[in-house]
Amino acid sequence: MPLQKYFLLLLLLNLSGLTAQTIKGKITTIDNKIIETASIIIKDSIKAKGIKEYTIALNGNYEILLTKEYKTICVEIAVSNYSKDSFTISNPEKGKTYVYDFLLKKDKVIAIQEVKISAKRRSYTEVKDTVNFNVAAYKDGSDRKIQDVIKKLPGMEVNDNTGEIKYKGMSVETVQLDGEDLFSGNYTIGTKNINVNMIDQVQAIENFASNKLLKGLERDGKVALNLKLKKNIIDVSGSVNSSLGAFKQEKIATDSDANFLSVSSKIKSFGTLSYNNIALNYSPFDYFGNFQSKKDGQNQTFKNNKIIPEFSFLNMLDNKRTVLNNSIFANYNISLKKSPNTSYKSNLYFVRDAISSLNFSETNNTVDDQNFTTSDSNNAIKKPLLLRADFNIKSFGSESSSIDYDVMVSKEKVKSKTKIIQNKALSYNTNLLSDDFFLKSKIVYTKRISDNKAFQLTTHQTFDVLNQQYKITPQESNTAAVNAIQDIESRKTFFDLQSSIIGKIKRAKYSMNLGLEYTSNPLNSSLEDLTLSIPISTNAVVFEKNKVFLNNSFDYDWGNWRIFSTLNLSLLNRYLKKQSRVNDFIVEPEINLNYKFSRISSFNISLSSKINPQADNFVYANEVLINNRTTIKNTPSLALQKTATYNANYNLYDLSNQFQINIGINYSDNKGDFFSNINIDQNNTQIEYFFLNEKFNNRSFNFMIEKYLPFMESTIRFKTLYSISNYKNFINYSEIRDNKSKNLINELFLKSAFDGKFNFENVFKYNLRLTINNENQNFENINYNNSFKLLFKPNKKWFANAVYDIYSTNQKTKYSFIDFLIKYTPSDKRFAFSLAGKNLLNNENFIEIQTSDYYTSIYGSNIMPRTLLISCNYSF
Amino acid sequence: MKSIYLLFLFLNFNFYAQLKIEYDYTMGNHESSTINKCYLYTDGVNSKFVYRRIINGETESIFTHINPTVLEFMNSKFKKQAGDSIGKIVLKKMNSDSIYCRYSTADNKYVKVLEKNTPIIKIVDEFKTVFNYNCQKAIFDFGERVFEVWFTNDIPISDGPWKLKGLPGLVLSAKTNDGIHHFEITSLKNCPPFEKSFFDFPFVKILSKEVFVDDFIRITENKFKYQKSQKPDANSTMTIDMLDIPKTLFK
Repeated sequence: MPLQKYFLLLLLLNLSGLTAQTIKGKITTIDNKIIETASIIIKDSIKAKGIKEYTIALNGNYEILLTKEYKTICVEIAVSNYSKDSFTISNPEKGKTYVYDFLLKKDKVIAIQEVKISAKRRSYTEVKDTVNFNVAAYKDGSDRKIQDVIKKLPGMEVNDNTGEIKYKGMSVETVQLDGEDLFSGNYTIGTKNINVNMIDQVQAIENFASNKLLKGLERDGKVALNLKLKKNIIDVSGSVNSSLGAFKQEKIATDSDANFLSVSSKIKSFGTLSYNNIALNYSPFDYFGNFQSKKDGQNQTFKNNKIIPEFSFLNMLDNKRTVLNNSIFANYNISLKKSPNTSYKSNLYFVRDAISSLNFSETNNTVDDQNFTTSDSNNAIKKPLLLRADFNIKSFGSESSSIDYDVMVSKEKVKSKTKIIQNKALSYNTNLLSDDFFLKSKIVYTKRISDNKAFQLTTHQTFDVLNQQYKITPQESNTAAVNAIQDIESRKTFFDLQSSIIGKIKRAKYSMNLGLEYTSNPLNSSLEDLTLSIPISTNAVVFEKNKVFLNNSFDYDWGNWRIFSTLNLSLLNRYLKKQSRVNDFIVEPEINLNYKFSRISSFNISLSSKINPQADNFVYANEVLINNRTTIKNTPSLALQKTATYNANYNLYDLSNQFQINIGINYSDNKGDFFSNINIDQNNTQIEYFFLNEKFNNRSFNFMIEKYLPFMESTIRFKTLYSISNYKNFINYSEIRDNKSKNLINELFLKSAFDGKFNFENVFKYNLRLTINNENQNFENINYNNSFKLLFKPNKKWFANAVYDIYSTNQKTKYSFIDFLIKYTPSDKRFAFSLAGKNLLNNENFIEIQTSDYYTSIYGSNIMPRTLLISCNYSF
Repeated sequence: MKSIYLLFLFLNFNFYAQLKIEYDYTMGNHESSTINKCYLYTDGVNSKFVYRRIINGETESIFTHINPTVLEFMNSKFKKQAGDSIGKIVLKKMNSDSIYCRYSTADNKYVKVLEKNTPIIKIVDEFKTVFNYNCQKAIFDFGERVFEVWFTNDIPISDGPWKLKGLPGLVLSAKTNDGIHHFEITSLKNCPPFEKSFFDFPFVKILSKEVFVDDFIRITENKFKYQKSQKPDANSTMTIDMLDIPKTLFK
């Protein structure tokens, strides 16, 4: 028996040998050299990627017995310094021996004089959904904080006022530090304060999932950044920076900050302390212009609005030129992993500032053929004080469930004092105190039921008390002058409870969110004449809102197509004192269609219908004094505004060719809104808001193109935004006025990337605003600004730049500014020294001229004078 | 981390088929590892692979360990050595199966060992880019160790680090199945023709592979027994996991 098996095996082997082909031959060269070794490879087609079989030919002879059957046999020979050669056998016969002799020719591409170069590390790499930007490739020497580099990264936009970041047009959810969300959404603390030398890479992560239990179930499209620390960042690292200099009139200018970063497997913490009076804002809170970050904007839903606005320092110039401040900012963030399943996080904030401004305005009003001029000169100082603590606990009860508990407490006091000269005749002192206490708590329970489904239960409880007191007293005794005090006290209590089912079925993702909300927002105000000691106006508002809602979303991925739709249903019940309770059933559908042409380009259309209950901001019926001239009151209404929005966008982000293009159009059709009736005379302005069921629409078109031009070694970017808004108002009890405002904003950016010592950057901005009132009168505002920067980097240690800025408003005013920076980094890179100068031409005032449908105004403010600063930075 | 690329410029009338390839040889795991610099000199006919050199009293190695104290100890004990050494060497001839190796015995003597290189080689239909070259995967089965290697036919030299030869292209990356031994290319450049004497090395005596392995294991076992005798109650073990020696555990 065993002998029979042996013969059977031998027969089978012979049979396979009989069917397989043999290929053999000689290998010779055109220069008659003996080829000691050569690689003979077998592929199954000419264009095949992989080698199927092979043999190593020795001493000019080769022979290979194929072990498999092929429809086509491609035989290729490769020898160093000789051209590759090949031949093909189509429909090979079984068991046949093929003989082919190779005659090799010398390779025409001759390799010699090898040069070994150290190439620069590639500026970015892409891995699946993440783009890793190498910080070193984008630094130009002037960068100090990581935000300075993020601004230069392709696809990134940084808002100069709030520090908020957008990547490929989408708002960044969070900025993590080495994978840890240390700053709990207030990521500008990190981007504005972490030194650029600590960071190795900035990672842009698309399809980010903040809750790992919902990974794969949530809709794609969220974006986050991760700052990867350099490998040499040890347990504790940090830096100390101190800048001292002088303003004009020998006043001291200073900018000092210290920050530290502590990293270990269980604890990460970052702390910063800064003080400056050169208009730098290291905090995530904007007291210069009252801009709100996205996170603060989300919290605004739970907070009272400040009816009496605080002073804002806004004009065409960058805040760094016009604001005089004394800012102290302290912040500490810590993240602690108590155990593999539990982590704690805490963020503490302290902000104290004294922001001052000298400004004047002169407005020429034209109403119903009447002309009169008003003017105000203000010497204002605003002193905000903020204390805030955020605390978070995250605990995984099991591998599939977690509880997140967030608490936020904040106490803010803003004192604003102003000395006003009104119409060059009356002088006032005003004092505004805004005192706000806010408490928010949020609990989220998440349970991953299966691979395809999850359940979430969320509840918010918030409480906000806002007290504002505005006092205006004349500097000299004058019976005609206003002498009054306005008090406002408002409270807002909010509670909600929502349960969500989030899941996916094959290519579709869905979510259903059922919940209820309760809001109570009482408001009391009183305006008292201090001369006569009598009340002028009071409000006692009781406002309540209840809502039951069912929000549904559906996301279907169909190859290159993606369809996302939502349908939100809610039953809204609102009560306003002295009005009957109103119930509304609201339906808000939305549909989004996205088509991906390729990995880098896509087209998107969206249609949506929204209902906005505007009433919340217009609930008080009697006058409230908000500044030396202006009172506001409303005719409250619980009517709803309806908005239909249509959008189309095309995006192309080709990082490898450094080319981006975005085109978008937007149209919104609105019905119903609160319009203003403005009564103006020389000393007073009364504004009354009331609801009209009128239609109005807005259209806009935006275009952006950015490309690196290799022949110029430069990057060029052009952006334009054109919008047309129709709006209505009433002036001095006129008929309803239909107005149209057309805006055109253009920006042209050019930046070189020469290998030499010099480079330049130029940004030209051109804004045109055209207002057309109901009498077809045109009012035009043209502003432009050009900023030219010359960069000089002679070697690794020295760096210098000079900046020349020109501003012009309405072709009637023109200002030029010159700034410079010289920086030296010695071999011991822990230290860096710099000398900076700003406003070398010592411009003292900046005047802007603006026109609208009923006024022309001249607005001037003081500018930070000529400043020289010497800085020393130490990193450890 | 910098990447070093070779740029080949046009020019001249002589050309060289001789290559000098640098590899990083990592031995260890995520807890503790040693990264050694290795050099492969090859002209497609003869090749010389050098590793564990000692230059100016320092090994060409980088140690890593998750415990900083242990790392400091390793750096102080192993980084500095008395004297210099040309290191371990593997000489291969492409037109024969013979391999001559310069090994260090357990009592630190350099010997010449003759080996027969007979792994089972299998090419697999998997592809990836390594060091900017299109590579195909192959498996080298030495019996006690199995290597997963990536080779490129764009460089038609049938050679690679250590004893990895015989494929129709240069091996750029190789790793054992257990992840302990890993070769990765870091540099590739042309060089002038090698002298014949280049493919030789000094040694104390010639041994066969079997005698070398038996001697090594015997001497190492004696050392282990001596250490164990110092701490009879301790649960001591010692493992030999070197490329030149079969994996051996002493308990």
